[in-house]
Amino acid sequence: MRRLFRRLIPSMFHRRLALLVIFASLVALAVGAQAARMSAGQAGVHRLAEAERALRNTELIPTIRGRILDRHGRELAVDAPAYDVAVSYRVLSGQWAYDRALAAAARAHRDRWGELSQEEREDLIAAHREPYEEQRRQLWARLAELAGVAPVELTERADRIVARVHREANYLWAYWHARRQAELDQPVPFAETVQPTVAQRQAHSVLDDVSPDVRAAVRRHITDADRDDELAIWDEVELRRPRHRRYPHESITVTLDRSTLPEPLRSEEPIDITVDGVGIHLIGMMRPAWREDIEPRPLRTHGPDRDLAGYRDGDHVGRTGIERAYEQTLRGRRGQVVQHLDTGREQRIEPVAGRDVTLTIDIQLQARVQAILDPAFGVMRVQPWHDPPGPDEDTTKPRLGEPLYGGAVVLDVETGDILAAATAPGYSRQQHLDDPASVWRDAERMPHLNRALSRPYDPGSTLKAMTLAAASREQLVRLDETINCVGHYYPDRPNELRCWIHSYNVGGHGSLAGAEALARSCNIYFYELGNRLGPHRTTAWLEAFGLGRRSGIGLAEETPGHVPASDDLGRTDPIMLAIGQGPVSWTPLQGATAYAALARGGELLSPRLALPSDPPPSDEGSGEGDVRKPAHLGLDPATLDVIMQGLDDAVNASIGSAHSISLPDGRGRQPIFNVPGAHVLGKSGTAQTAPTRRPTSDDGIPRAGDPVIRSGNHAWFIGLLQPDGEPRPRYVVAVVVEHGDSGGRTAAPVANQIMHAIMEMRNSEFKIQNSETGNASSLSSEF
Amino acid sequence: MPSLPTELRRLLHYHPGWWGLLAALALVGIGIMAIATVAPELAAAQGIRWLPIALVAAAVCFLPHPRVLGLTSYAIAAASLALLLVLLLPFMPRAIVPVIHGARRWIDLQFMLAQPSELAKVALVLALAWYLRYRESYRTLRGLLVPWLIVMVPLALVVKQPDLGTAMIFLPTVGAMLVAAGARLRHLGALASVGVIVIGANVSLVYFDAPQSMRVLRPHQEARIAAMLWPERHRDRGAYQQHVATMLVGAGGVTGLGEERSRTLLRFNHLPEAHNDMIFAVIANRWGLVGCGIVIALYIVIVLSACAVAGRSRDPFAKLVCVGFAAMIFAQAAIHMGITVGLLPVTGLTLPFVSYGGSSLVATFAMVGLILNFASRRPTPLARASFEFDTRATAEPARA
Repeated sequence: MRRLFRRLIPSMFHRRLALLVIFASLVALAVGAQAARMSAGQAGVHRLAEAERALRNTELIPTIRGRILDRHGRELAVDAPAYDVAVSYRVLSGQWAYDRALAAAARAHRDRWGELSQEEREDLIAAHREPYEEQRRQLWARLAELAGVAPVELTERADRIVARVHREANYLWAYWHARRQAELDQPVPFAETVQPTVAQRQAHSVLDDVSPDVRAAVRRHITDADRDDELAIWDEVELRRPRHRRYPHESITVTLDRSTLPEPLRSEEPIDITVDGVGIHLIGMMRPAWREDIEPRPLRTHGPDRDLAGYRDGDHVGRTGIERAYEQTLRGRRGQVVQHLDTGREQRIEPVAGRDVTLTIDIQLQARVQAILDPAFGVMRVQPWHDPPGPDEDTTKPRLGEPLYGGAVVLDVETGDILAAATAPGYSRQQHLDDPASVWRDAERMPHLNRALSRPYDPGSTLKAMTLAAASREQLVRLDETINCVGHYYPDRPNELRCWIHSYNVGGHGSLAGAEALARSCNIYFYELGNRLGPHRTTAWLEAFGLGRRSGIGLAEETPGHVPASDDLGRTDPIMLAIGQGPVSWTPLQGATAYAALARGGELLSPRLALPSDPPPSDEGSGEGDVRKPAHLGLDPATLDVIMQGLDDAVNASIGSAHSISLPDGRGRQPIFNVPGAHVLGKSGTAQTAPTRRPTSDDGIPRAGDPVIRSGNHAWFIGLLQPDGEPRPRYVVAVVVEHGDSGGRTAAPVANQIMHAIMEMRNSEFKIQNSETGNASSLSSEF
Repeated sequence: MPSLPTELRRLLHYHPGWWGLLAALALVGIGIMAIATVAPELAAAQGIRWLPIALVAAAVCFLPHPRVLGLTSYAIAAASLALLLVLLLPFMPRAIVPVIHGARRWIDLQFMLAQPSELAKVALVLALAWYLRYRESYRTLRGLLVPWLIVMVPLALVVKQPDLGTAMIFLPTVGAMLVAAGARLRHLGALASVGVIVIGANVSLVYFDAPQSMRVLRPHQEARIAAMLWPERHRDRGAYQQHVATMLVGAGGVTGLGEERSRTLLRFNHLPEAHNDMIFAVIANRWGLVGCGIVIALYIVIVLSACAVAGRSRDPFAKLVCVGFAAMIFAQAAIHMGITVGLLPVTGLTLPFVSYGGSSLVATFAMVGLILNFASRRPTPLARASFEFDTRATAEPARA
């Protein structure tokens, strides 16, 4: 090769020239190839599209998030525009003064700045800081004067914002760090993931909803900032018009009658209870959009996959409840104005407002139910008639006077509408803003948990009505057939499968037929039914009554509860399942749904939380439009009559398990239910359950061996309320009280108060209807 | 002594040097149109003011005998070094040495801002060629030290301005001259690989995100390297100029967008320094790949023409000067184009003949004038072969 080259070009200088020319040609080729790679084919088209983006000035037009209304059209959540005065995070955190001082110090000592050590620099910065701190003080003073508050109140507000943003940033950084490590599968220095969060780059509202006068004054200051260096801090202030999500019925004060309470709580004095966070678990909350929300559906303003309904930094999304479940319906779509700078043409896409969601709840009833669950009222606090443990007893059961936790649901039998769903303890939006950890990280009280539908509980005896219905439908028991209770199920083994009555040393219930067995809540009768049903029919019927699946109301927080697979069941499991113990769980909502099916004559209808909208929305995910199909369980009227008789006797016959309560010494025996103008039926349940433990592991899941917080049975009552004049029960009230012990003593008095509230609501509503002279909306007549 | 017209008539005959002039003029024409796309008033100035001045400079350089040039080359080099020093003197008044974008590159001559580094480029080639012309010491590794020093002094002064771009083209120029002069390729290869290792080490420090204590580059230089390595990630920080440039190059497609569309796009995309440091992006945008190909081809024509002149010449000084100028023009063009298409990190460098700018145009046309000057001379009858170190026949007398 080399020799050929030499032979071809004899002169060495010419050969070297040729070498240089070849090298230059290769370089030229590389440049040309790279230019071709940039411009040929799709690459060029994409770059052209990107370059042409600069010819357009795109402005987004905000949209309005839809409202959330209660069944009477009362606004539970609305987007309200307002003018806020916002101050940049830099100023709030003090970084602004530091940066300004740094710039001033570097300017003043520019000749030797480069040689100074970091400590010397910091000293000089500190020396230059005062004028800027003074500007900050002046800013707070002026804003406070404009708003008519004390300056210290504003600085405290600022400190709270800084603390909150900093706390969020710490969470975020820890999360980013963990994610980055998982991505790379190797340790990453924490500092590497620390970048300013969105909140740290933004301005934050320090004055909400300011008047036009304040607005004008602030605007003047902002303009002056450009002219006067001593007012430069106003450059960091902005007036903005955000849409605040407001929750007008967040706080409701209700007056509760105490004359129907059991002794010794009873009083002729009504009590005023202010409920904060009314319906918060159902309505839900908003939060800033995270990367996880934005990445699957980013806001795209151009191109073939333009998506103005997408998300970007600074957007808000529903975090919990309806706000989250109906996000797509509520959100709406932004509009857009595109100005073509080269031609002056303007393209406009109008925004589409979010759609309203009308809930089935009555916010006044919801507030009342929450007030009833408030410990201040009394029935959700351990009372003497609950038969609490004495002060000397060594137990983790709740003691006299301690607050109880639980949930309650009110369901309309006709429509399956959830009229109220309350949980205790709850929380308020203010509490969540001030101290989110107290909502999310309180492992003992768990205020974020909606106990009405988010936590599965052992059903206990409340499931017996379902067992009777199933066994009768399967023709495994005749309605007049009696089963003898001697206190335990196996004649030769008195220590296994006992009836609850066995512990009272009175032997057994004797021979019982269906209605009486239900009223007395005899275990032995239902053990036998469970034995006859066997595993397959047992699980099939549990599923038929809606257990083991989400009800379809759409809330992400809802739990399906648990129904075991029939193949997993042993021989004795169906016997336990028949009395609602063992591997089965449901929520108050599921319990109410199942009982509503009985009240409806054996027709199971999924509950609903949102009314169908008109017209139904086209987008997915909202699940709107009444597409529910009732399922007929095929129960014959005679069976239903027996069950209803049993539920009636349980409440109204003196043998009934939810008939009356008395104080521990046996004095003051009094009926539990005293609802005027209505007939009450129902079933109590006392469900054995594992103690609640405080988790010690990082994942927050309690395990056996963790310290016990509370123990004792869960107390259940599921009642049917039949106002006079109604052909059949109209409302179902399901109440669970965690570790409340006896269903009849603890849960039933709560249900009684809720039924009073329903009747009161009903009467006032009828009055409204009458005054409107037949002009009532279809909504209120449905109630 | 023949009169000037006779002398001129004797000089003006056909030789391959003329092709270089034609290519240079074509590039100026393309340049004026490209400048007109982004800044019409500057295009007029380039055509009406700087082009005539540059042509006069070329004509002036065309006249003196190569021997005169050679004899004065050290003096010219010394003068240019002095001017470079003047720029860096701490007490120079701002009226004479203005600081623009933090750099002291210019001397204010009232009617124009002159860049002494442009003169230094020409002087370096002349001085180095004069030094190398009859030696063969550079055939040893130690002998490469002196040429190395000759280039390092002006290079260091230019780096100090700072003007990294101009400094960067000194090295390939010297390299090409040494290759042509017959230095051993393995020596040059070894030196080049040291350079490659140093560059590679710096790039990998950025690539692997080495600890601060190991870094030698300034943050803005690292940012530019990072921008080239990860164009997507650095779109918004530091690498805006290169991002916009590559975008506009790609947007031009194969045939370009034409004057009107190109002007609109360039206007609204705000390409910084579009009329000089980024002019190739304008060309690619307006005339597309075709335009790029023509411009690259014109530079190859200039290289070929200069090499042909060098190959025909019998004067070793002229040979090396031609190679040096060709290398300098081509290296500057290649680096400029490499930056705009995203192959190299951003640094300010004009495109010879095309970019707007007086000093640059005058200096490059001076080079063209000198090449034409050498091409037009009749070979000296008694000239001996030079730089032919492997030819046995000429090996003996080659010792100077």
